[in-house]
Amino acid sequence: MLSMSERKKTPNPSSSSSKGQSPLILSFEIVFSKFVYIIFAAVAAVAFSLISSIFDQLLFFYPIIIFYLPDDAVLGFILANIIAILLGIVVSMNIYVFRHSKIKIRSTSLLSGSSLSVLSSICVSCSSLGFFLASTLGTVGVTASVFVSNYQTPLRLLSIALLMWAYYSISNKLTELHENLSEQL
Amino acid sequence: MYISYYYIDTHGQKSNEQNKTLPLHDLIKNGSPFLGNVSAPITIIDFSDFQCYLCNRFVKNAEPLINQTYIQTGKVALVFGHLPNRGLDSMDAALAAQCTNDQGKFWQFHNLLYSNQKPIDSGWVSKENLKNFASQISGLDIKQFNTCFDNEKYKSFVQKDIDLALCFGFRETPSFIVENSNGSNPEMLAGALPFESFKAVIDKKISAG
Repeated sequence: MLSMSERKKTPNPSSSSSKGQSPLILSFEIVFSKFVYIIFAAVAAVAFSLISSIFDQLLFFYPIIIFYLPDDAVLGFILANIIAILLGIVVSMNIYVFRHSKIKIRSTSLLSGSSLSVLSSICVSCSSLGFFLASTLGTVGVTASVFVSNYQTPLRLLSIALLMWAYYSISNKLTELHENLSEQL
Repeated sequence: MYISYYYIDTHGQKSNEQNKTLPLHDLIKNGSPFLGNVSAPITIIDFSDFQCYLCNRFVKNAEPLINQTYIQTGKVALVFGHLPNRGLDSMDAALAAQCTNDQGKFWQFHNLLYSNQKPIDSGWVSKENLKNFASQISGLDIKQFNTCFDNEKYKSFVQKDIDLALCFGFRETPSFIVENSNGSNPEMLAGALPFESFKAVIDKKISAG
């Protein structure tokens, strides 16, 4: 259940200021009006960004700690960071919904956003895991490796699309949750 | 420090464990392509695949700086090792490249392939295209190249390079061994590292004498 302090802080979707606002913006405001969810989003985004930089061989810890961004990696880096930001937002929103899930909301809708975000992040990291696929799975691995290497950019674009879908999905549920909460109040 | 490893021959037989080193003069004598002075105190052995985009990243970014700073000044020799594991066409590219080494044209061919690199196994290093690439190298006897390439003259040589890389635990390309030229004090590096990473290792080795 929402605490009294949270109820006071949470924007009321039926108030005059939020009426007519898009669920995408409204849900964003609801979640990120609380500092803790900004922290969750930042941690998830930074963690993902670091991991993708390591897999993309932009960040090295040996023999010296160094980050470098060669020309051929700029597009991938930008896409990876868009994914990281979207992932942070979606993860944070999912945490918000999980924490308030006793009030309402179907579990399937909760899972849809998070599973999509996980799926999309796997899509990204697998594009850099081709070496391991190749060495462990033989010819099938080589084929998989070739696929993920050659289609790295489309896979990342797909990940962004999946995350945007996840954001849309979780936003609708969050708005629905708050509308029901308003009705209960 | 000397590296102890199992040598696996081309028939996949594991021979006895040996204390082996990879001195520069042995690598050159065995036919490995190299850049630089034979008396350079430091050797970098680069295990790469012509289809690997990260190898291309190394070739475009770190290698020119290593060349300018250390190879041209006689401090480092760069040896190329074949690790064609990124695609099904990678072996042919390695065989063709090694054939160009017969005529002292390896690095021209190396640069030509990397500057024309396309998606893995998209046909850009098909047998026919490799011959076309070879024909673009001035001074290369194409007849001699074709004979070498068609007969897979260097298949066992490339396989030995692969086995050697695997012995060192390398699974990805590019991977590097930076060592003293007598093969001592090797340091393994993995990935398309920037120049600064190589500089740190090379300078440490040079200052250690």
